Amino acid sequence: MEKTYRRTDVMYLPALFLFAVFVIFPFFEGIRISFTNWNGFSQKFSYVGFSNFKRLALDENVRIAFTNTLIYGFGSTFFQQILGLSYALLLNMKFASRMVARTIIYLPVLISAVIMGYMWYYLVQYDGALNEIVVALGGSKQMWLGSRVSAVGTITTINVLQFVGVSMIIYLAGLQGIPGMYYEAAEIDGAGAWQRFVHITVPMLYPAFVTSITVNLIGGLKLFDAIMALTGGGPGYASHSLATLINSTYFGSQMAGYAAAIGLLLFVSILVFTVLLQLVFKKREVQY
Amino acid sequence: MKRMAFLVAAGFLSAALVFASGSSEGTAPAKKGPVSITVAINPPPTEGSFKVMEEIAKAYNDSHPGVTVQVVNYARYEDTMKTKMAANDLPDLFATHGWSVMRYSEYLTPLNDQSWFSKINPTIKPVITDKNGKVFVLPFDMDVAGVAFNADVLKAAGVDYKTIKTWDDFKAACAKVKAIGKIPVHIGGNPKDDWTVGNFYDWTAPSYLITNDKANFRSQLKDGTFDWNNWAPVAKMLVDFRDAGYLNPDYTQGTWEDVGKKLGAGDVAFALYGNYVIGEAKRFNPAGHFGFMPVPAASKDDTPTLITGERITLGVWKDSPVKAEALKFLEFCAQPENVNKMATINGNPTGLVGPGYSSDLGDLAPYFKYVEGVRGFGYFDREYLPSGMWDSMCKTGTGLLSNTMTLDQAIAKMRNDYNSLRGK
Repeated sequence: MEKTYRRTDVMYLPALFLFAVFVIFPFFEGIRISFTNWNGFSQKFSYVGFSNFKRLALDENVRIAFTNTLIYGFGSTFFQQILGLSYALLLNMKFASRMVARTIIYLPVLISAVIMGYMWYYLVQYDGALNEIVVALGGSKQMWLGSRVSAVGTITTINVLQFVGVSMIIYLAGLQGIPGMYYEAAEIDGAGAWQRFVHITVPMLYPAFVTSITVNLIGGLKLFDAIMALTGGGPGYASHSLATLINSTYFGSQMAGYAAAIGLLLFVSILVFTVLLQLVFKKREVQY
Repeated sequence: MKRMAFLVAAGFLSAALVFASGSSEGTAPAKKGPVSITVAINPPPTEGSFKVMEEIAKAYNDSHPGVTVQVVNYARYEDTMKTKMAANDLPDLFATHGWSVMRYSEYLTPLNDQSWFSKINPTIKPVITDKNGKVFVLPFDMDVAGVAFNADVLKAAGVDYKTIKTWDDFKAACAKVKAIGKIPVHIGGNPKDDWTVGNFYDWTAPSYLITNDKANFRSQLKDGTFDWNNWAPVAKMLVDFRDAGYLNPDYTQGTWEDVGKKLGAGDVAFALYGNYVIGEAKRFNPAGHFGFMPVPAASKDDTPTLITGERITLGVWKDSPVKAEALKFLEFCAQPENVNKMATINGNPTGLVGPGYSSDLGDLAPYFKYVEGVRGFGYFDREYLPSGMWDSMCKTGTGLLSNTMTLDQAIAKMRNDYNSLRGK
């Protein structure tokens, strides 16, 4: 048995090596760079202490990006849970084409976020299909990505629609794990549909809630591809998330040190939100 | 035995994962054989200048068996080049798009000893020479840029470009163009193409800040004492154009392709770009009539000017494993037929002068004649701003256009980035 465990440990080595090279090392290197004035491409730079972090605290564009990040994360997650649970409840019923419906709703998850972003871009651009519909209905062309509200709203909507399938699958699995006898017993006791949902379905789905919210929240907070495909973070700095602002600061403004500092802010934010989430959603599995 | 097999399998897997992810780009061939040279340039493959570079490479390959020159373009050229510089792993030759001295010189080999060095056009030479007198690129052509226009639209609107000397004259012309239902100026404006807005600033800022010999901020911009409140008239001009209806109606979503397409189609009168925009317009309408005029002055006590600078330039990576061969290819590029071909496709004068060097300026010849003697100034952001502020110009410009930034916020951003990039 001991020999088997040692052989198994050896098989972890490639994964550990890759993890060290592509996650651990860049993480500590990023911390180091955040204390420099490196421009991202020169072989020369200097250490500048905490000046990047002082600047970060006062930078209005970082505040805008941080707010947008919260909208992309929490806003998307909120609507994904409502829609995802609704789809799961509907598609958990027995009807002829439910497998087809499940596949159609889940398919966008498999598409690259960049491709999804570009597909939607050609729909919502000024001369795109959406404005053609608006004009056909008697309205005038709109710049759907031309202001902060419309740009952030459009990006959030597209993110919700693309990844709602993830929530649906998680909730479907949760629903199918609820023993039918609880519903039968509740029906016998005279409980209505809403009472059965509130007192049986919701408590039993608690682990699924935690998983779905955690997965979607982290994905939303890290949103990058769709933003780059739709707006590039603009107009101006209006639709940047912290992730895209890091990209813009590094490559556009040539301030790699400052970009690394923003990266640390993103890391700490996601860590804090994830830990808070775990504390709020303490495991309360319902045992019958 | 089984334990040994496991160890071997784990070791092989680790090695395979490490070496399979590598790229041999830029490494020297292990033994003598065909030489491969990579040339990276910034114009996309759809542009004429890329196609010309491919033709030059093909001609070289045909006449030099054993050497293969490959021309490539990166989708995000500047970002990719910055990553490659950080890794010190660059193409053998690459275009520097205006930044041969300020950004790329650390990685380029000086070319003062090349046979074509003495033929460099005196107009472009100061722009590509560093403070130690070193030149790092071969200039195929040079930007002699003003405000491009569709001559047919101006004629229909009753505008004579020769009467436009100041921005007030320009606005009056825009009003006439607008009156006939055409778009006076196509600015692009899409945040994903925000360089189109940065370009507007590169064209307009000099007239307010540097061209007037009697009142300018040339030294303040260079020594770091510039008061950024003086940026306000430049930024406000963009907003004024928008509010007057002189810009394309989709001014926050218009793309670079739209500029050429609509200029070519006769929907737009003016475009504030180099003459390469005329090349783009002609792709959509080869029979159209296009021209360019000097950039107007901000006031009557100044004169219109031109914008000069690098256009298509090639340098050699100083650590290229095939540097000798790369220099030979560069020598081939410097031949009159190749320089002329590139300059002609861009509608620009040649970057080298002397017997045999001349570009066919075609329909633009009368306009080049008209601007003879007009003062030229280098690209504003390249000469007067630290590297990295081009992005600030682009972003604050789109921010103002979309009302997601106020004038004060735009000025503050420019000031903060200027100070930060200067190390303050």
